[in-house]
Amino acid sequence: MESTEILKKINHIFATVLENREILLSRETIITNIKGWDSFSNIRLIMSMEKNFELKFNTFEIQSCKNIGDLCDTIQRKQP
Amino acid sequence: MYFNTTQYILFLPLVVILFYLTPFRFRWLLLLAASYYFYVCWRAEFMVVIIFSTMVNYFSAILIARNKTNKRNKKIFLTIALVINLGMLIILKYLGFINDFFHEIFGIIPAPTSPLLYLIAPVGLSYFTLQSLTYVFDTYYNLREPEKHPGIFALYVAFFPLILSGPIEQSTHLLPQFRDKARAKLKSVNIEEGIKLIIWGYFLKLVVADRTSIYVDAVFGNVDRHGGITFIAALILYSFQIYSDFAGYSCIAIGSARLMGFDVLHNFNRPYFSQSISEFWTRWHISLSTWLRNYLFNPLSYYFMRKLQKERYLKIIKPELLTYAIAASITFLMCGIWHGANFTFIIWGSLHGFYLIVDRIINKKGGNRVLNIIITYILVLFAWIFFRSENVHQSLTVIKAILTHPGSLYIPFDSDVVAPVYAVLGIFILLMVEVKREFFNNSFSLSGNKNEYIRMASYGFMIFLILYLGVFDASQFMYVKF
Repeated sequence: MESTEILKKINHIFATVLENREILLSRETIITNIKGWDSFSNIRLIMSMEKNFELKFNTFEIQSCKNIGDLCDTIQRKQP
Repeated sequence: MYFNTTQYILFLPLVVILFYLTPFRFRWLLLLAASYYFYVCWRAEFMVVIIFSTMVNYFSAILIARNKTNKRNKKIFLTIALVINLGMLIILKYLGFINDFFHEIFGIIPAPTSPLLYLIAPVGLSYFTLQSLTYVFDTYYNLREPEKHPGIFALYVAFFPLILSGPIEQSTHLLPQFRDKARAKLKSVNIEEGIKLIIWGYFLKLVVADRTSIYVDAVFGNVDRHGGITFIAALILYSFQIYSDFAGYSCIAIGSARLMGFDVLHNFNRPYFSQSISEFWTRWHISLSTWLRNYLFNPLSYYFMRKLQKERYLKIIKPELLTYAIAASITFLMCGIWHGANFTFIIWGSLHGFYLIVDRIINKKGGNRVLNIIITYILVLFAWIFFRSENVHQSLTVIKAILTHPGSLYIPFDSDVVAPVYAVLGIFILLMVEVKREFFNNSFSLSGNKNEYIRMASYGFMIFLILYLGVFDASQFMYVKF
């Protein structure tokens, strides 16, 4: 899957989970600065991303992502 | 050596001057020697614990990194490091409590007789153990390469501004700074920022915390004699005492490090302006809550997420909510236990876990900002009853008095009468500063003014307030005992 396609899909997942349709993510967006992001939504986001991308994250993969760009790269790397 | 002693007031400038006079390649040695000296001033024999802990974590990380591709060995070395680190904590801090618990509740263990069960935990043990563990975890999860230089790693564990009570630093943030030559240059901005933080820290500790403690100690030292109104007043003062004591300590620690160009993570962000308990934990003791989130809550969430997704009976409760509830309960139970070997801390931690779960179930968004702040403050205040009490019985006495016996407000009519007045004045200044920063951040600022004379005058005024209103009895910082 292309990086832009992953970004688009992530944007959709974040908009659904955080109940914010106007959310517009870029590769530079800092994950922890996103409005509505907290420990609980983090669980929901991981569950949703694992389901949508059909993969499993390990404990620190998401934590080590500073921004959405890192998250896209991690997902791209884990794609079969 | 505590921060509020004359010894430290002489020690810090001396170390800072020597730091800038020493060539960069020897600075780690100077700081390590200064850090060990700082620690030895408290109890020399506990140096053994620090050195042992340093060696265990240094070699564990190297062995973990060497077995990057061998998952089994990697896990074995992580387990060894965890067992030794947590084992030290349990033996030195909790063994007596565990023995008492089993003796009193189940009667399966004879009454403790050995004084060895009640060893005094080395000061700072809870802090440097967690800080060392971040390094081991980060190496395990390939977030960093192990530090090869044993001296620099030893400095990371024992860095004197942080060793007694944190902030608990992240290895990926602090460790690289000891090797950063550009950062180590003498810059006036670092010196001024450091001094500013230290002055504010001393104001919080010597004026607000130590003045309020006089009234709070008088009330909680004699719980049977006071009524509900007095307890409410004492609790409000206590909420400022504990905040000012620990935030003051953190400011002095961060400021001391900043004098030498080091950037240490902030520990507090005006917590009593939080609009929910979950927000409170992003503003209170941030370094501990970040540690707990990264190394306990998140791994627990992952574990239970996978387990619970498969369960069919969970159609009533959403699996993500149940995952959150379990992970939050365990995390805050551990948070309570981390604070000390007493049921009061366990109840305090569990209560915060309970608040978070209820908050999540209600899932109320928006509302009046001031009302949200007041409700959150009252919840935090209620939990402080357990945190402050010597035992659960005392907590229940206080709650009973608040609910059934208001009484009249206790006012000390002896020589201590000045203490509450100074305490209230200190709290008033603290609130003025915090309200300004919280609600009017871009407005006129004295300490952040572009005019250096105004800035200097504001620092001078703060020093005057500290000297005039402060308590100079070198009392211990509250969070050092945790």
